[in-house]
Amino acid sequence: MLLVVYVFGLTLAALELSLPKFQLEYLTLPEALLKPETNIADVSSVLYPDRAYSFYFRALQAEMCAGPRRKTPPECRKRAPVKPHEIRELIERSLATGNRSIEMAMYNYAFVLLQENAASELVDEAIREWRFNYPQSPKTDPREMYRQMSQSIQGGRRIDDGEFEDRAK
Amino acid sequence: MSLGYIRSPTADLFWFVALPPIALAIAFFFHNSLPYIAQASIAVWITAPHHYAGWVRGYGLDEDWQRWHHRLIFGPIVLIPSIVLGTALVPITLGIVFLLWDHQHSLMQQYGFARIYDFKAGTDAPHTKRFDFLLSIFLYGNILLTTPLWSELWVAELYRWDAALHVETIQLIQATSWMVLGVYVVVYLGHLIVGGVRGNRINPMKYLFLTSSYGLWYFVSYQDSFLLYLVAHRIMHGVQYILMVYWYVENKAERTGRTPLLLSNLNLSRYLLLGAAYAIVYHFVTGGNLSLLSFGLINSLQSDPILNFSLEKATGFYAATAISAAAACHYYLDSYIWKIRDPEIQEGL
Repeated sequence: MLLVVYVFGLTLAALELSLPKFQLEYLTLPEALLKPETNIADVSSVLYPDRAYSFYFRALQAEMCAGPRRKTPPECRKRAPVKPHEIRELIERSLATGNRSIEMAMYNYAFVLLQENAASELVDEAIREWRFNYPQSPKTDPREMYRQMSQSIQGGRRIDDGEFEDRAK
Repeated sequence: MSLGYIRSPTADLFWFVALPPIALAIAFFFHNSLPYIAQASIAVWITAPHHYAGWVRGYGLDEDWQRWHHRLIFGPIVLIPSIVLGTALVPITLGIVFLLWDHQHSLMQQYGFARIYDFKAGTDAPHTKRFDFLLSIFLYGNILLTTPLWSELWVAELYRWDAALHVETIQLIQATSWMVLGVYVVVYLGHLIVGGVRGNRINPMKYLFLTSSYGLWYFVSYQDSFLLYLVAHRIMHGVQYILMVYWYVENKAERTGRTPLLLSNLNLSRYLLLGAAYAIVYHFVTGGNLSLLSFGLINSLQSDPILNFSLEKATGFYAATAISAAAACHYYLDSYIWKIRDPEIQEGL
């Protein structure tokens, strides 16, 4: 038995070492979420349309395609535009299945609520739910994360505006 | 037909037939009422003690030590450095190997119990072993390939290896798996009928046990909750193993008249208490914290909107409760175990 485990393990290890690099968040990359015909969001939605992961992958896909069309990856332009509140609704449907094993769904739900300027009670409840289930999570509080991201986006906008003003000049 | 039991009719019906649905009920309680982190407490209180039972079984019996001492010594010497290297160099491979090994280990445990049922009932006909083994492989393999819980996992994993599949390919794999299982079930039934014609008997307890075990696995694998699987499976697997080891050691001692020193005073309560002690030591040695021992209680105290305890306060509450409980038990015990007027106590003075 040990021999079988070793042979299988060594084969897999050789493959792992030969691949260029492994990303921990490989399912959030454009290749995984947007590749025509084989992206995880579409594949899982066809296989298991009502399951938590399917809704969550669709939310990730929508998040990748949200925003001005010209700024989204080319694959997004072949898809229907992301509707207002679509990401939030998809995460809500994921959470409504009762599956609590996707920590990022809980975490991102709070984040999306912050992005949508939802009522503070809703945000607090979402964060409480995430903390209740994952009390030892090392992730930054979504409020703090949102604050940092908002600041960096504003900083980016200022740079963009500056560039625009420079060019206009 | 011929009945045979691992322990006794009542014990077997409870621990091998009723335990899986009971474990499911407990899992649903976890799913509906406890935080997700509470499933980790099952690993602490059930899985770790089942490892301890394995140590007792592997290293606690002189006879086994004499038979297998080379394996018992060199196995860990080969395995542990491999794991250290694997963790450092190929962690994903190590994770996949361990996941698959865990599945193989789980199915082999139930297969082993099924073999014991045939052994006990004298129903171990020629080729039964092979037919049962293949039945286990096809039944369990089909769970991994076709059920949503596990399909989601391997389908997603393929993206990491840049080997994503089309929906049609996945559906083809799953349909093939069901077909192979269906064909094999027909073959298996044929084997039973032919065996019956030849005068071979079967032990219905074996099939009740297998139905209950695979019923649990199939049921949780169709649910949209990994927590249900983690809790129900760990309870079934761990509890059955812990008991099996205890019964094995007890039977050995009774039948051979030789009880190893380590196990000479090991009644069931002490065996379980030692398992719990092992779990606590193992938990803290591997860097675990108090929170995981408490089924999420400490964290619930913190996240409760009314109590809103700080970590220190929640830990303090837990510690104060534990200390008070220990003290209360101590006071209560001392109130009756030291009665000097009692002749039986006088004997010890």
